[in-house]
Amino acid sequence: MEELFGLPTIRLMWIVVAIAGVAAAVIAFIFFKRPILVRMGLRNIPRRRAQTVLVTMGLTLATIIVTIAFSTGDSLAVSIRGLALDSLERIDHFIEPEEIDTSAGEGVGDTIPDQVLRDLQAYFAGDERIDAIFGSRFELVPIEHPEAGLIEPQFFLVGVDPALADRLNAVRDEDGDLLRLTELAPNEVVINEIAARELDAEPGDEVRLYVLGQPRQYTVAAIGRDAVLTGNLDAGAAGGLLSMAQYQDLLGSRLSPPDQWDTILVSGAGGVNAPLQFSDALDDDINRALAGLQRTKPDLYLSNGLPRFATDPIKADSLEGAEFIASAFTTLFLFMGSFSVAAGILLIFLIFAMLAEERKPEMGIARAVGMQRNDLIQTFISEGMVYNVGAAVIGVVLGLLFAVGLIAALNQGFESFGFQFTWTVTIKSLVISACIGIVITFITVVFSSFRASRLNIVAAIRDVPEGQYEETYPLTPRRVLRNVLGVFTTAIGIVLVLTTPWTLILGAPIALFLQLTGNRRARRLIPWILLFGWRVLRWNPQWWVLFLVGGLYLVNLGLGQESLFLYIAGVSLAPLGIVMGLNKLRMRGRRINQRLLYTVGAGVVMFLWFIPNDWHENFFNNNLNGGPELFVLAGTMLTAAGTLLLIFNLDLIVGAIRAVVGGVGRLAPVIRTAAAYPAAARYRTGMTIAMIALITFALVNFSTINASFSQAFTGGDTAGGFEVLAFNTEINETSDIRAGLAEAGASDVLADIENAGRIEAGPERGTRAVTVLAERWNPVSEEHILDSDGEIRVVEPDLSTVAFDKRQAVVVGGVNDEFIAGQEIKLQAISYRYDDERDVWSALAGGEMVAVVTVDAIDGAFGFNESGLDPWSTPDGVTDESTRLPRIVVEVGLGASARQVEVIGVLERVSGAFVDLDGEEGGLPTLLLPESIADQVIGQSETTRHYISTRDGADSLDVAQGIERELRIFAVDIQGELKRQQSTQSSILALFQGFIGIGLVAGLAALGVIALRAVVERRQQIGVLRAIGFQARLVGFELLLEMGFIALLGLGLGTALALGLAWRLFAEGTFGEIDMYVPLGTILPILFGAFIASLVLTYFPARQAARTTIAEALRYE
Amino acid sequence: MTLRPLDLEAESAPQKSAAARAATDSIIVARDVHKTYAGAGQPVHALRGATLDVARGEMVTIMGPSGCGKTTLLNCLSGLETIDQGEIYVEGRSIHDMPDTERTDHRARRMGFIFQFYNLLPVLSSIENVELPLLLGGVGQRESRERAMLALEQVDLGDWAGHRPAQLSGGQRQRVTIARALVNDPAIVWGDEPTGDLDSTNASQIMDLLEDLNDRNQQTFVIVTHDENIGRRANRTIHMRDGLIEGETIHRQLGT
Repeated sequence: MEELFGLPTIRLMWIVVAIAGVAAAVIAFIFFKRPILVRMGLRNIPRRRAQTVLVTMGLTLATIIVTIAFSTGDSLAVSIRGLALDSLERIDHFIEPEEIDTSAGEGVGDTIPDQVLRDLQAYFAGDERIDAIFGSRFELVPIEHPEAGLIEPQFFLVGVDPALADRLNAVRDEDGDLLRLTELAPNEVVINEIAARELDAEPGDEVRLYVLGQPRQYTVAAIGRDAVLTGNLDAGAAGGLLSMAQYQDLLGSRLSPPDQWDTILVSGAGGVNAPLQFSDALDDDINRALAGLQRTKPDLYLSNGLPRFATDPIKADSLEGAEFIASAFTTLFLFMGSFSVAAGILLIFLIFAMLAEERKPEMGIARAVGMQRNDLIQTFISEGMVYNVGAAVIGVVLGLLFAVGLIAALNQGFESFGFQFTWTVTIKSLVISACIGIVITFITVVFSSFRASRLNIVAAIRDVPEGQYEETYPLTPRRVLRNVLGVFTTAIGIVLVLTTPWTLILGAPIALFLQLTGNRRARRLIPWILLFGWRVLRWNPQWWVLFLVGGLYLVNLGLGQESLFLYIAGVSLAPLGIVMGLNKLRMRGRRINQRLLYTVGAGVVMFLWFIPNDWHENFFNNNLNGGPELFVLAGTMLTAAGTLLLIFNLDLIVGAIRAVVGGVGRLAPVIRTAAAYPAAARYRTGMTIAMIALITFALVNFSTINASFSQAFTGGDTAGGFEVLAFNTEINETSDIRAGLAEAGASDVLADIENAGRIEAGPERGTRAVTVLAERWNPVSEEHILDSDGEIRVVEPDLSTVAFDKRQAVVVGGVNDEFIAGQEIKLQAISYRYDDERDVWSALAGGEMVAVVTVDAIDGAFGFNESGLDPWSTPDGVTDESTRLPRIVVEVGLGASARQVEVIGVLERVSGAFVDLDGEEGGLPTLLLPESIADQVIGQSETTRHYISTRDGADSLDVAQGIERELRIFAVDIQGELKRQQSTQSSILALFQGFIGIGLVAGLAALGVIALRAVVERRQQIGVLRAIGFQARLVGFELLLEMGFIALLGLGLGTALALGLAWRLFAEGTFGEIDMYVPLGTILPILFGAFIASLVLTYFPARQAARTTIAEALRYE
Repeated sequence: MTLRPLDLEAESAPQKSAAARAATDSIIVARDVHKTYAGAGQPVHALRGATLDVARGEMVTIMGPSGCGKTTLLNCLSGLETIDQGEIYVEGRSIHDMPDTERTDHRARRMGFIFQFYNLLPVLSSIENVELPLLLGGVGQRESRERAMLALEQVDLGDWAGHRPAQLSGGQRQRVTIARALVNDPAIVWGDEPTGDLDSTNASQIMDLLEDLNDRNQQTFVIVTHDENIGRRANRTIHMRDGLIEGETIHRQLGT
């Protein structure tokens, strides 16, 4: 992988290596200057082995995630690159007919005259960069392997000059050995690996190719590697190769005119990889050549003044595509992994807080006898770095193992596409992964160490809560001045950091270094570096200012850049900043009630996230846009707010639980204590809840959104009421499927067919253009079309006509009566002139001059967007504005075949998915007419699609196979296909869920850490409980219950927030008309599994607690 | 007040039957109790044949220098600690022959504990701490709450029922501990240096309270202490040295 986030990965590597180097330098400095501090830090490591394991486990998370992301990216890049090179072999550039000429308004030929090839060959004659320029032809031809009884109706047959292909060494067999096409006998065909699999064919087998229904016998000469020249023109396409003469002979001059080519191919000199070096320059030269030829031969090279042919540096583009996919996957993994990284960071904070708590008395004594706070920090950093480096090594190894598993799982998901990824990792990726892990952990350890070193010496020595010895600071003028300056410098620091990220990257480590070395002169010399680093890393940072000023700055920045991410990050941080600031206020020596403050603050943040986006936009009269990065932000902010809300109201929750289950016999005291301990330890409970909730949020939200999409597009509705879909091609026309089956004597298949619907579709390339004559609501007459109850009444309003003369391309299809009778397609909107959907279909069946269209036709094709008019706008009082259309009349076709039709219905995206004739994302809109009208507009149809409903009890797979077998056209069992897609999606989804779920390790490790700590710090209390009558098993049970309670809070919070946000997104139409679907079958096992895992991890500390010897515990201090 | 050696029939040659017989008269009977800890390097013989009887309703203090085995004896008598050799009968039942579950249950229903460092659960309020033994004994929520409140009122802490231990003074905390020890109306209350962490005024008040409770409820109190002033307020003081009971001092006869 060469680039990530637009940054060359090599530069990324040097940046992280440099930062990791600074971290190493800090440790080296401490070691050489104060080795005693390093030794003090290191001696803690072997003291508690279980804790060391948990600490290391937590620290590995970031490295694991980054390693998986990079290794997966590398694997994808190498695999797809390899696939592209294997597939293209010696082909570097394509010259093809332009697909669409919308402005010209007429279809252009989709082949290239031989003269063009000869012109180009002449132009580049003698060019050393080019080995050959040659033409090729291809066509979809059904193929049959009679011996195996298998048919492949969609077989891309390619024809090329065999001598040229041999000279270029352009075709290889499945083992990579060269195939000599000149040695092919007249009746021999090369088929690709996919075709061989589909047909169960081997070299020497007899196959039949069908053209216009007539079979021709061929012998399989060899199995060619899946490549463009062997017909692998689409991903997973079966195909084969004939010599050009044989190809012409098979297809005849009507289907394959001898002076025409489908594509001109350019093969660069020097082999497979070498031409990539001059690909861009050669492409420019080809363009220049075409431009020159356009000037000299406009009749041949131009159509209505526009170029007819275009060049495509296919190999370079494919490799760029491979790079793009790899980078996209790495980014996706890093995005999703960021939840786990965040959970890992929280775990480090928690662990260091616990370590500090455990060592408080000894740290207090150390401080009392003269140890500086800096010394404590350095001790912690030294200890942390050992964990850190160990964790980086383990993390990389584990990450690679996970990546191997992930690639294996991906291969399973892609098995049906006949494509396999190869696991790969580069040294560069390994270095980046390890260093990023080290850097993230180092920064977190530094911050944690600063926090841990803040202790009151007396409170620490006596091991009592800090609050009892809270110092009060009288407001002296000097202190006021210092705080004002502190706030001011922090604010400047924030602005600098946000505007120049380098300040953060460079400033923080250098400032830390200066802080640790205590070099005051250096500090004075470079004060700008300290603006962020020094101020924030000071002993008493004003975090609330950071949140408030940073938040407001982000709001402003977000509104300016129309960035929802920046804006909502700002509006989430600012209220928390205000709450944190108010929390510092003392009124007559008393604080404002913390519960009130944080409940309100967290409530405001959650409110801001759960209100529709429109409210934000309307409030600021701004347009805010966001992408998938919002997913991470939503998780972080909502979890933070939700955790605060829970933690500051935990006593109420505990009270409610006790009220409900508190009186459960002898378990009452167990439940009471199990609920009371988490409520009393807010920091550690909150951190653990946040970790678990964060990952749960990601899992549940991701699963819900994906399952909703999957349900919508692969659910039963998608079939539109049909069971089997079959395609004709121009070369194998069967316009009447019943007649075809009757003629073939397939009465059994025929008997299973209830409805044989059909769409005759026009050519997709060079489609006829459309003119829109739209009549819109006239505001003056709005009230006349409403009944008193707001229902639309069929009253002809006073309409004004708006005509757009721009022509747009659509794919036109004609539907027959059986299609209309069999369909169950929902209409998203209907014309106000029709009562219901049935009326719309009846009008179509009646052969009226009407049409139904896909939604993108309304939005894109009819010119409304460009005119600034909104076809969906309806008069005031019509609430369901998206279901009624104004009168839209469009002109379809050109010249004598042009017809004006009224658009009376819009197909719903889901149930109409299979009648979207282009079918590609961002492709051409579809316009369906009655068949009789369509015949007038499109004349000869290019393809016919058969939409078949089967009789009750019939097996749709049998029907599809019967049609393929008898008519040799491609047929698919729709439900079976949907199930296959669902299964592929589910396995890939499970893969991503597993990846996100890695972060749960942090939450579970946190539970383990606090359970272990609880056993130690509560030993005396456990002794007392045992003394006053707690059975041993109850002591263990209490701890299990307590940790289970925390786990449940985290899982519950994450689930509630995720479903809440998903509900908001679906309700406000973020995902169009897709309905929210909660995949309980996926979510519940995840939640249950996580809960059980939390109990398993707590079991061992619980057992240890249960085995506590009473007298020893009572003696413990 | 005289220091005299203990004159018990089983002192020289403890017989199970004799001990059992004695157990029917005394609430606590201990015969030739041995307890050895595996110390670092060499074993520590904490008890080397301790023998004693405690009558029902008696207040007994155990005194002796540090490390003489006072707390170990108390722990062994109350069943918190296992013994290596000897017999201990509490209310006529051999406490160390009971399985752990039964022994724990017995403690919950029949014993109360007062410790030097209070050992209250910091996450529960005063009243919640006090009602724990009752809930453990299966008493209903409402009744537990009422009895706990009564117990707190007995120790003059009715107004502090909702406060957590951290919000109370040392004396108040020890009163909560006493309330907890007495709430289930135990037959025996064990105290390990109950005034050890208190100043003299608070210590005296706590002892007044314990004496008063002992008089009123006729509960047996066994208290380990260093403080001779405390010791003198009991019916009897048992003196220990090197894991052995050296003798006893009778301050006042039971019932006087």
